[in-house]
Amino acid sequence: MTLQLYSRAADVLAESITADVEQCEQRLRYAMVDCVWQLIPFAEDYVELISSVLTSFRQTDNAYLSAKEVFQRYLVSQFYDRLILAVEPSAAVRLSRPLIDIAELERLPKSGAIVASLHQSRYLLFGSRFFVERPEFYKMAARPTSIDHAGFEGRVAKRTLHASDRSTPVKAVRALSAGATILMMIDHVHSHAEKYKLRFLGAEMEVNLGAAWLALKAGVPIFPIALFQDGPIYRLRVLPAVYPTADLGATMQNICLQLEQAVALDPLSWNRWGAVFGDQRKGRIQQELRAIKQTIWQEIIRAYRRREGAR
Amino acid sequence: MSVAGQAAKDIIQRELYRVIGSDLESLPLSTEIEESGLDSLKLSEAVLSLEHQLGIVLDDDALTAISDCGTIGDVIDLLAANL
Repeated sequence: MTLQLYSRAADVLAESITADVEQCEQRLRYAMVDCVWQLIPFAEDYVELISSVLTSFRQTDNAYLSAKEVFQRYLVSQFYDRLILAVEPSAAVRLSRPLIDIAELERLPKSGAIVASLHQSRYLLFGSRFFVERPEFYKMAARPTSIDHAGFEGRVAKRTLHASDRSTPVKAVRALSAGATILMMIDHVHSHAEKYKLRFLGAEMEVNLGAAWLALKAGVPIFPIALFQDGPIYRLRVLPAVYPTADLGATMQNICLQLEQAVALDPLSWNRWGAVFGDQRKGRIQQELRAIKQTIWQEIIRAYRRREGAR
Repeated sequence: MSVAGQAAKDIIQRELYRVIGSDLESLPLSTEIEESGLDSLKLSEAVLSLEHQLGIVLDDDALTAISDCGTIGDVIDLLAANL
């Protein structure tokens, strides 16, 4: 039953690719309602997990985390992410422009900066904008990310710094000194750089020290960012700058203090709940989420290809 | 190897062991990089410092080739060859 609903929503979505954006969103939301109701028991489980962590850490009023509302938001954003994977880049940018607000990027200095982000599920939506519109934007990644698979390879390949290359920090310092902005997701570690354990949302989280080291060597500030949903718009907020010191661990901790706000603004958008607060139950929830995302993706691609084939 | 070449190699070796925080006796040149503590930040620290000391800039190809090095000795040879 649920799969049929996905399929129906995917048909609507694929059909909407060339339609007016507002109309597309409206139709998508209608198509999603049934899916959301089907998945409410699952959503409540996931929301309970996130609420309990946030509440115990900062005594947050979790009334806003209505299961239905949160999961509806989550599914809509997942659909947009998959949509961007399914269409060619210029269509994705056209579609996402009225939905994505990246105006705060104007606050970044032109003389080089590091942008520190968490793994948030809105990355593809935002990435489709700033990697196309901001030629000074680089990203550092341990492996190809979703944006590399979304038809943007030509635009981002030359501006990708590979964390698995041991000499990448030297190249990154040079790029920063030449005025580049480097996007780094700091809540995931790779093996080639020194690791450090810090506190995040009351738990222990392991990070690499690369962002702090690069900023110190290149003499640039680090700007943590939050990606969040604000009504029908997805917004990027640039949080207060962190200036690096020789104490790299303390610098990373200061970045993470800011990034806690990113999670508080849009808890479901953070992909690392299971990894940081991992236990069996949470791991199972993550697995189920992955399965749902995979199903959505397959259905949208199938619907899109069916539509293309019918042309 | 010329005297100048050997001197440069000595500087590279000294710099690498400084950033690792060890010495040739504890970590012979044949030590695998993975086991030496020479992570990407320490290696980059050494490269930037050497460029500053020796007044040179390594090109991207030479930098990328460092990733293929297996041992500390390999890194020293590669850097020396690109001075």
